[in-house]
Amino acid sequence: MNTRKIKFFGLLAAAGLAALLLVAPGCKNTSLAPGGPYSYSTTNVVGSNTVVTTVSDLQLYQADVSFETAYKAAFTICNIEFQNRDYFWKISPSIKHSIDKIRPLVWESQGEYTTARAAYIAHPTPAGLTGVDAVVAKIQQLLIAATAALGTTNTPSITSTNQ
Amino acid sequence: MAGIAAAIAAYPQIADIVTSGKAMITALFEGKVISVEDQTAAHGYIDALALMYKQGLIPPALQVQPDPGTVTTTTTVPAAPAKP
Repeated sequence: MNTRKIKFFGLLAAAGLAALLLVAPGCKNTSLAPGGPYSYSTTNVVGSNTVVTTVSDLQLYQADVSFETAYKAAFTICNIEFQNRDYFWKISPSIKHSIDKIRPLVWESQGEYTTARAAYIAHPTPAGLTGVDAVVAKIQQLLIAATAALGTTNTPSITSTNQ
Repeated sequence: MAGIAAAIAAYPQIADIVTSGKAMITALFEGKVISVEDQTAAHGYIDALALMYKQGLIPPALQVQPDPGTVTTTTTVPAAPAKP
């Protein structure tokens, strides 16, 4: 076991950084390398020719990475409270209570994203992507709420136990 | 900056968070092509989350547990004796 003290400010800054990365503006030159899981081909017969069109879904990739990043950050905050429960409880029981409200919503968003993503993949239309984006927006809000819940602590350091 | 470095050292998950977004953010700003490896990693993570949800494997950190110091008692009611 290795016990360390970490700066609480640093933790919040890292979580905040992750949140900020999510709203980075896109660049038109960005593209996906062909052959990846976000590329799919459609085959159409035009006259006597068979036309195979390969499309890369950059927007779904961006949505997936945004969800992954926000989910990991929100989960990490829940996990930090879980691993240091006694410590945070002594500071204020409201920290656990606030994060307890977020926990089921993070889990719920996991299922919602799975459902919305599957629906979009079945019918990849811009309208379908709005459902995916809505869940991404939800997990981002949960991340902000989770960060705020931990941010109520006025303490210089917390203890982390690596297993 | 030292605080962030310490946080990342203590919590590998934070490094993971930053890493997961790095490929996309770099590509967005530099107009790069996102590699198949980065695509596969993102796709695989989402697939894993979906499978986890489907199987109902709620991580302990996402479970609401009793407050510290809460005493939970379990009362076992004996079964009524069978009538002769």
